[in-house]
Amino acid sequence: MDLRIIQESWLKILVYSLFGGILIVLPPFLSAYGVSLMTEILITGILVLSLNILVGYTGLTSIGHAAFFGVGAYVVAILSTRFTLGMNGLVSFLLTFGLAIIAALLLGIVFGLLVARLRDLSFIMVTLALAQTLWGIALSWRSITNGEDGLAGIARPDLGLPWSLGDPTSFYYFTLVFFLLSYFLLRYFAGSPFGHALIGIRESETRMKALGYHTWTYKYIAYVIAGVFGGLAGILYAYFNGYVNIAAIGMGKSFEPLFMVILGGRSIFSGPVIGAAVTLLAVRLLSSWTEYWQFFLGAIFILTVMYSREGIAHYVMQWIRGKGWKL
Amino acid sequence: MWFIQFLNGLSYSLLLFLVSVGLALSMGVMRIVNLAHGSYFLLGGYVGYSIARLTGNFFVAALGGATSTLIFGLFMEHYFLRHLYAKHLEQLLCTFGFVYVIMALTKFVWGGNVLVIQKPAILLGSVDMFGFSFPIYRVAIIAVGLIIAICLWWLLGKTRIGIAIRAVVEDDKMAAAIGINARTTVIASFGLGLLLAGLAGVLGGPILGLYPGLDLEILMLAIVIVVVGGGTLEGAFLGSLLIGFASIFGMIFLGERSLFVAFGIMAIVLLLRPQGLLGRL
Amino acid sequence: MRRRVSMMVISICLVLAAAALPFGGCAKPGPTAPAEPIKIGLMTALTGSFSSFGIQLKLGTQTAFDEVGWQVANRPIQLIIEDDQANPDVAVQKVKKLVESDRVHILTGVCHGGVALAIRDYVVDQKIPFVFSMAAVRDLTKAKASEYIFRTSWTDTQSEVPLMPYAYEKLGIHTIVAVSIDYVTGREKVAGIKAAFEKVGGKVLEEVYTPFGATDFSPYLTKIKGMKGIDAAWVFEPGSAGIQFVRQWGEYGLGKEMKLIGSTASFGQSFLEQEGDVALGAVISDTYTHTIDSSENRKFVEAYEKISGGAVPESPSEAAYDAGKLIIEAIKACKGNVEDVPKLLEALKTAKIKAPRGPFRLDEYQNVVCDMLILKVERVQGELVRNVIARIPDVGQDWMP
Repeated sequence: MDLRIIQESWLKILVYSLFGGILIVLPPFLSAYGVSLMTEILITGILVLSLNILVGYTGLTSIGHAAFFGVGAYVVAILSTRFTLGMNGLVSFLLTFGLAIIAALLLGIVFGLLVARLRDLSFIMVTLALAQTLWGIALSWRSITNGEDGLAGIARPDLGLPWSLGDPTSFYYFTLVFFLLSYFLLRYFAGSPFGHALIGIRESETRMKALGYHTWTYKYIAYVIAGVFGGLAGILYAYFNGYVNIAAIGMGKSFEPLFMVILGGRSIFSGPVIGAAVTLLAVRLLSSWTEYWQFFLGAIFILTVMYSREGIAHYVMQWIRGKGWKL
Repeated sequence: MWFIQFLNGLSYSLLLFLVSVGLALSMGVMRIVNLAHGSYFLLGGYVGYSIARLTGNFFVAALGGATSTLIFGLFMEHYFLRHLYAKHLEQLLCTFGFVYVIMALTKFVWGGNVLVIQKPAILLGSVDMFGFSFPIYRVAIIAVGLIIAICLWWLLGKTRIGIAIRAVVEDDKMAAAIGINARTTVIASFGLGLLLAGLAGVLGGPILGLYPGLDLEILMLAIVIVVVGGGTLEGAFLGSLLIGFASIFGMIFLGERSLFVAFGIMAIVLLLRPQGLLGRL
Repeated sequence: MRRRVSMMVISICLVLAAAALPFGGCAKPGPTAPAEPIKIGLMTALTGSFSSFGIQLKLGTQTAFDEVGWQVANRPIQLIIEDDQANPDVAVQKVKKLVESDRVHILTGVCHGGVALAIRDYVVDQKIPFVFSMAAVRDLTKAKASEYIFRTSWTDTQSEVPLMPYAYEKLGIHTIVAVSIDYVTGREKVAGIKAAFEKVGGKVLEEVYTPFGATDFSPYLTKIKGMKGIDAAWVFEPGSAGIQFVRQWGEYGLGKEMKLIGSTASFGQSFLEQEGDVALGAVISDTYTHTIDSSENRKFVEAYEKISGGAVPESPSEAAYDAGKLIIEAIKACKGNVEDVPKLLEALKTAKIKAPRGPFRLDEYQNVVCDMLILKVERVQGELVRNVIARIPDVGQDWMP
């Protein structure tokens, strides 16, 4: 066997272990604030990875992904605050979690039927329209969602573990488990023949059709899967934040992840996560520094899409490959 | 009372029409969703506000507001959007970046308070009808809206540039094949949309006020209208009427749930006829 | 060229990210030395639809600390201001930053009721005293009261209810339509004034709720115009909505048949100029107006105007000022030892201040008890101002006629 191939697989394992290891041992080195920031990055990481299935792999620009995130978050919020479900032990948590995932799944199944056959501009508009419809419902249906005021007091689940999830560090690990699970599941999915078919559809749907692929089905399934993981991010967010309002299902929540995907790099699997980390840190910093932070954020958006379309990860990879390694 | 409510609906609808027609034009011709469209509406309004305070003349302000929007928007198109042709995602994010930038700029210059443009003196006061009062200013809005609608119809149906725009909206490759200059058409239609948006911002100033957040509210309404009407201009007109009246009557009967009405209509249209009522998206 | 620009953009992002890492910094070492600054966190809406109030909170708080030269009990005062955008979601993030990253000793501010409720649990959990200087949602000092929570402003109903008996007896208003913006504060207010009004014999014939964010009231005003037998409209439309509502009230000819009474939220001093003559004659209730005739108030107005660049203080500014003064008195009572939280709480509870609005004390839920002013919008020397026409003494959060 070629020594180089063995070296490269070892390198891959090394890199994964390194990052995984860092994530695992990070908490003691950070303040409570730093740990919650990391948790937020992980949650957003799941969201952007799910979005990238559509954007990066299938080439479908969805600007309504907040719908899934929001549904996951709201189901948890409503069940926790209006029905006091989810806080009394493992079973109750699993029930809430399950219902929320099912909600996201159903949403993907139904919305997917509407959008999977659309392309380009129509796909974009309709995904936005659907998300905004849900936003409008969340805003108006006060008796359930409490409208603009949102639902507060979402308690962390009590899993019967010796550590309370109310502690930032425990919750961080709780989130980390889901993050690593989602990462590897989606990675596997992306690397599978199905994933490759998606890339083919992105490159040229007509060609794929000519090759005999039933592209609609592939797009549909991609949409549903992206939706489920988007919903998962929403669930974790509800528990993390303790409070959910219409911002969780609004336009910002559809666009900022898109930006993170672009910034981080949509052609590399881990790219979006890097984008998420950088963006979250940058926004935190900017908004504390100046009340006109939106100007700088907007400028970064613009400059990034104009000049750094490939994303950070892409340039890093190019640099690595330039050194002769193939990752 | 119902006649007055009808007039309320009509004035609101026509204002919405002025805004959404621009979005429909940019979508149809440039094939992008210009998310900054609402921001241009607000920007035009703010500039108009300042000009009105400076000169005391509402009409100069309206002109100024519209022109400033045109300049800003063409700047955005020429230096930024043009380089992103056919890259939908990048275009979207670029326009969204502009949303943030304009948001911060307007807050910096005009602050966070609600600003109201004073109406022109000759349009002050109300008309008494059936024991109810209806502001003359809104009558003017209805008149202006209808006039502009007719002008647009004539412009796009009977003039060369108008037909060129229509051709590009219908089928851009064919249009190029028969020699229609895409660049001029794009500039013309985008510019037209911008002018209308800025104008609407100033016209709406006395009624809706100007404040941070209005840009996104208007953007959402415009998107709903364009989706409901389909990407065409007739669609924008019909969509505006539908959404405008539905909102007004929603407010009367459903009170706080009126926003939901607009989205509800959009949802129904999407389910039944995804290309919009009169459209080809 | 492109490659260079992209590297530049990426470097900027990475630098920003790296610079933000200190926020995730290490745990704080050891206890603080006496000359260490006392950190006070101010959460307010500097952007968004509540920003006109938010800025008042900022200026009011600053006036209070200005007065003592930003130093109490030999310790400098450091005011850390965060913009919550009147958005509970953002507020949750910001309060965490203030508490965990900035390590504030005391928190103050908050305009929006929803924000207050969203952060309340966290603040109490973290054991940080919070002196609210505007958010009026009732639960904060009732159902969700806590030894850590103080309020110097007013509750939803506290500032509105005293108007009702006055309107009934002195203004001859027996029937009203209640118009309110639709969110938790609005609904609480209407419930409160309705109970009070009906207790003295009046009737609320209709309740109209307008969507949060609406600025075109034409359908509602037309509807109200069609209602018969109504003496007055009681109005609560804050912020952007307020100005538009009053102007459109005039446009739709409602001033001829109905009087306007209501919450100060629609008739704040800074709104009157935009509203014009339509607002003339409106009767409202409030905790404060800058025309109060007392030396304490005159001193305050002067100091405030210096910082604000000419703008006069209104009730949020005054409440923020009172909050600042309360904090200052409490720090003095603790001799600067704010790290001893139980002592600090005790000091906040028992501190006495002289407020520009007049009498000021805290009830057992740590909410303010003061006089409510009945104000009328009048034209004085060409300017529209709110003048005191009556004073209802000793109004607490549960006051009823």
